[in-house]
Amino acid sequence: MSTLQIEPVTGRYMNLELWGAKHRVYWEEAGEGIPLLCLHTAGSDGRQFRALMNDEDVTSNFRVIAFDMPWHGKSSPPAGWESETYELTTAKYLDLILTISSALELDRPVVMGCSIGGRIILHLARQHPDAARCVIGLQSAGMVNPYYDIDWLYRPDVHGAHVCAGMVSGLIAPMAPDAHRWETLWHYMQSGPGIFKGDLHFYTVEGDIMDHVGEIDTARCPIYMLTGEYDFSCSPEMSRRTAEAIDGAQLQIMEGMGHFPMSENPDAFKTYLMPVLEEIRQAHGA
Amino acid sequence: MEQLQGLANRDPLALRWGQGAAFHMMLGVEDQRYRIQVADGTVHQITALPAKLTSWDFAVTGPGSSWQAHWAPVPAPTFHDLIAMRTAGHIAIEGNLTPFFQHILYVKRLLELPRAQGWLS
Repeated sequence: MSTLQIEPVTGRYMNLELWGAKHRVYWEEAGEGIPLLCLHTAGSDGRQFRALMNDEDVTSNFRVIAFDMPWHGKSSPPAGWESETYELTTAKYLDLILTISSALELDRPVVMGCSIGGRIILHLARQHPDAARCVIGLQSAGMVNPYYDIDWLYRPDVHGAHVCAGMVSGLIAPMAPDAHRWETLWHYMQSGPGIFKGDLHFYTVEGDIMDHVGEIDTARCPIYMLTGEYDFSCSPEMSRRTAEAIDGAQLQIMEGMGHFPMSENPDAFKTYLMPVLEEIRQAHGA
Repeated sequence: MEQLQGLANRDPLALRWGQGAAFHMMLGVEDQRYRIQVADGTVHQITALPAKLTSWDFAVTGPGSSWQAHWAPVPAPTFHDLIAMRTAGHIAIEGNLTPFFQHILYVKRLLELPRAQGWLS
């Protein structure tokens, strides 16, 4: 008897103008229905959403889409990257999301982002409230307290794969199944040199939106927030402070979960995500 | 603590992620100090201090209650990881941090092995 199992996930490349240069961007998708655009964490890639794309309970009502940010995963850096230092900013990240959404002709997708993705959805909801029918922030906060010198992530005397995985390994909850824990860390080990650090420029330096989250109009763009209790980077406390500053934001703390809910413990994450997706499905009649 | 050497040197994760590691770590549990000498990715010696004047590359120290919480079968948030404990102020990590970051996965594994052994359960 064959053990072959082919997943219902398709991956393709698009070539497009972005950030003033030609880019080749990889994305994966599965399912049909309301577009659900998923944003991976810093220094990782779209594989973090592998379980979601294989879950019929989700894909029967949602078209789940995850792209690898340029310089990440199977998306290439632009020509000339060899003499550039990668650094993510709010403006570039927003441009990326809007460009991809437009390229794929998504009609006001649900935008769900984790960590840096959980931060940018706040910027998106504030600056482009009509670009998404709602946003879901996983490990989302207006700002986080930097707790280490990010220069450690990229220096010649420390192996980048080891230190990037080592710095995020503790953000995973003890309850995470080992296979998912180490798959999540593997993605970090495959990150390009200096890329995790470049993403954290947005997360810990440039992308602070704490003083402006109160300007978000949740009547135009509803916000759901889900935060794992073991995350000490975007802690429950930071998410709470953010949610309290946004009129109408809905926050749920996820027990037994860390910083990578969709990747570290998909089954447990599903119990928290499904009620949110069901509410969205009912609101949008899919 | 003397059991730690044997545990580390037959633990698949420690052996995998310790490759190439060579450093002296000072572990502090309450007032007790241990010097853990790592060479060729294995623990060569664990010495209770102060046996003699000695040096170390980096030190990981904290009250016994922090380590007890770290080694609990299911550690609570902020006690479940070395960096989490350091961030929350439960322990200190000091000294030359280059070997610490070079071998962070190994150091974390080494210091969580008592948990896997259920020393406190």
